[in-house]
Amino acid sequence: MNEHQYYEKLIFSEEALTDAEQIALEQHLESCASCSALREGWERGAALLCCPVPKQPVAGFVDRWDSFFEQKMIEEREKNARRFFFGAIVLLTVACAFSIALLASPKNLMMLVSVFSTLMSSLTGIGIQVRTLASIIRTPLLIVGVGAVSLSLTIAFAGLLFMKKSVGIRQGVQKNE
Amino acid sequence: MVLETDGEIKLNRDISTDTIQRAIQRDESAFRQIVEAFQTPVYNMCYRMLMNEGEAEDAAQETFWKTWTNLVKYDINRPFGTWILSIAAHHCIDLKRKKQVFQVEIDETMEEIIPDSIPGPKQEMAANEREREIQLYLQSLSDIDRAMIVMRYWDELSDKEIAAAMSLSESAVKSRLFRARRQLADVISRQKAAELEKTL
Repeated sequence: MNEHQYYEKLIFSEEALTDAEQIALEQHLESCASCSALREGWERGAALLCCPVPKQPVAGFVDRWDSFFEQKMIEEREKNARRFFFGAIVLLTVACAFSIALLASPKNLMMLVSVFSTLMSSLTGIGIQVRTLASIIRTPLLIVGVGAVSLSLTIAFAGLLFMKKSVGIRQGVQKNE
Repeated sequence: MVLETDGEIKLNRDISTDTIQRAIQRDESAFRQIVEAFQTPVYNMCYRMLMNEGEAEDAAQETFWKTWTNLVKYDINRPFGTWILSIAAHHCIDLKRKKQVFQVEIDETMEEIIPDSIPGPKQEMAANEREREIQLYLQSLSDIDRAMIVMRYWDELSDKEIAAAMSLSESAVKSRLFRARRQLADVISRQKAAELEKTL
């Protein structure tokens, strides 16, 4: 550290100087023009910074924030919707490209067929079980089905008769009036 | 909360944790309280960094939006004021980088920034003069140094808090603050010397 650096440290120190440091600094400043100029500059700078007044925003900042916030939320929602839309398009495109790539090559197609047939064979097993179950419950299902259809037809016929009767009564009343 | 005393506004480190917690849980009214409490320090930081009232307003609003969207990342043990000022400072630094506003040599801008006379009453003139002087000298500093000077002198943050806000070590903060003060003193002394030459 050279001589000037030591005195500069004293000039810009935020802590109070000891008496010895103060005397040494004053002696140095008498003979050093550059340090003296720095000291004068810093005296003005320190005076400006000692009690700075913060810059206030124009009145109504919080109200403006409310509008800003609302706008940002709308933008955010729109952005999310756009992301979802573009995501779906990308996904669809990838799926289409994958299907085309798969179907275009015979090797890939064979692979797909083998996967599909494996899937189908397992599905056939499930189908046989469902068929066995259906044969057991077929007769009761048939009885219940025929019964339900007959009941609904009876209800519909009765409803029609009731409506016809009520319309006839209303017309009779109107004629009498 | 921010305390206002004799025109000075200081950051109070003891902002209600309940308000912050509610804001973290996406309570908009709680966050509105935060905006109300921190509008001045945040706006002041943006204004000192960007040197333009309109840009400072936009930057302050963006700072609060960034704070809102990043609240989940906030460490509750950290002072909220320091965190929000850190967001403001970094946002302004990013803005300046994006706009590619390069720092112009102070000597070249000196005459453009300080006109010979200011209209208005004497007191207002003195306040305006002081304000312009501060802005002029701050402009001579790099963005990071300027943000640190604002944190130190306007918001009265300690070296440790500035270090946390600017993601620097305490020793780096100390040396940067020393360099910034030296730079300010140098610019002021050169400015005074130039004024003296003009009068002679």
